[in-house]
Amino acid sequence: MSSHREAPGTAQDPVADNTDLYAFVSPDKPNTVTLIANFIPSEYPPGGPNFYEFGDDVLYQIHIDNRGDNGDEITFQFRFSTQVTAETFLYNVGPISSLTDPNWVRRQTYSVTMVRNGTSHVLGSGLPCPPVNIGPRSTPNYGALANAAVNDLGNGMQVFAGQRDEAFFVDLGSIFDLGDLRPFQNLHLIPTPAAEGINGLGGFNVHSIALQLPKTMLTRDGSNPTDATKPASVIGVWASASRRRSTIRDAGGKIEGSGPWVQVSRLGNPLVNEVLIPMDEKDLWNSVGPTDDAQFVKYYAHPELATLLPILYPGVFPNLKGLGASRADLEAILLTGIPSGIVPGFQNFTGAAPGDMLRLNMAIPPTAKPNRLGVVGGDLAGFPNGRRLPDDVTTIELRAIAGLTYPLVQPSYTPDGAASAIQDGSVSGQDVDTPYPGTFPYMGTPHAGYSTDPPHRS
Amino acid sequence: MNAFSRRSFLRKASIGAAAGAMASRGLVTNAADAMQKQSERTDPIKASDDRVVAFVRAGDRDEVTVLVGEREIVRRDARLARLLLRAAR
Repeated sequence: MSSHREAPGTAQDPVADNTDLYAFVSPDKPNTVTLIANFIPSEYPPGGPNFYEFGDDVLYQIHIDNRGDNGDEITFQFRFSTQVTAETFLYNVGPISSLTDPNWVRRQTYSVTMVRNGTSHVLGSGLPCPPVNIGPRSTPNYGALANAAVNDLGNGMQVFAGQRDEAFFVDLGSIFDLGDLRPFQNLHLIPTPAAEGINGLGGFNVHSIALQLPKTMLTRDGSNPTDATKPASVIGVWASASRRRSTIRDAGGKIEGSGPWVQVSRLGNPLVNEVLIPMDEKDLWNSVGPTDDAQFVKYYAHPELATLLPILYPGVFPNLKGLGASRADLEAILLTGIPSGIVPGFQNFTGAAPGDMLRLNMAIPPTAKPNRLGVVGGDLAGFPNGRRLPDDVTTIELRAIAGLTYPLVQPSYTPDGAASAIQDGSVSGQDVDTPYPGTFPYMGTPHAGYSTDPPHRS
Repeated sequence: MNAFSRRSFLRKASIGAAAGAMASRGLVTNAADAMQKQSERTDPIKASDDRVVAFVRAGDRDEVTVLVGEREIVRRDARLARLLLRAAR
């Protein structure tokens, strides 16, 4: 998955597992940028009575680099607090009609703190999360509950934290079955008839932290970026989750943390820790920041998957098979940003030092009709210029690894025909039955537990 | 930390230290009470009810790490480390 259960450590700690990160110029408010960091993978909607929630013992952060040094000149910190208001085994004892409804027994609030150049500013505290979406008796007007949980932080800032429909889509069931891609599985080393892709995350929910911020808050000089060629128009974005250095389990079930926060999960570009970093270094990758990424460059430059594709699909990738060179195209896309002169009218270069972040050129306006292949599809407002919710990052990265983007740095290389065709064939639920809302926080309404059909037994 | 307060710290911490050593490669101890006399004099945590956790890493037997609140204090103190290790036996 994008970064769901991607490392041994996070697979055991879903509350602190970054699953996806998005950064895009807000389509309905183009003077602002929206950042969405998702956590808690594959929430099964009926999962009560202890439904999914953020961790009170986790520090969630979104980091902004606006000086091209892979650091974090601005950090937004989120801390959650759970309150239980009645002695019952139930999450709610009647319909929840508002965020202050006494029928709602177990609720969360949170604080938002901005750390800018080492100085902390509390932007909001006691901010309400919405309840999870339970069903027509417990959360009969879920849209109103979620809308009420969009909090205004002043100065043009908005924040939302709570359950949403999973936006990422990928054919999990096939891709981890020896790299199978259903539409092309007739060409696989172990062939079966070609088939349509299946979104393995369809019907699941996730917990989102969404921030909308004026662009002028994010640029290094406070300007409103309008010139896409200027380095100051580009920001780097990454997110993280941290736990306390030590945890003591006392008698009576009480758990207490001590010591500084220690990062246990991070996310910049999708699928990196998932697909590029080897198993025994995934927890290490999660524990460091972009400034420490030089040690991982070799895995971007020589991705294991690029070696496997010609083996798994015999005869389909002859040119990729012969491509032994370091993949400077992938390093540019994922680690430094794309310099000027490579893609006409575009750059999101932040310097030669490698660091895994989403890089967003904020001077590029949103596209009226987004192409889900982003820059590869000729849409400069999409991945890897930041990342929008509908961007098909699995296909984009599959094709890039298959050699489609290598001519950007080596024009004499001819990609295999399959490099521009392969895909996993999955389609997002938003494209099928629950369209993306056009306003903040943009993520779709979470699936209700009552309305969820359990997977059929085979 | 002077000798008296260090002895006090170690004496009261020993029970927790032994239990913590079984649970991890290091040595973990709850020593909030024991730190009270010291904190009254030097005061960085006097007003705090924060738990204090001290441990000696498996790879470095001359160093004691103390966790309190969101702080981590690393003390290079072979004697203190040896006393903690002795308490863990």
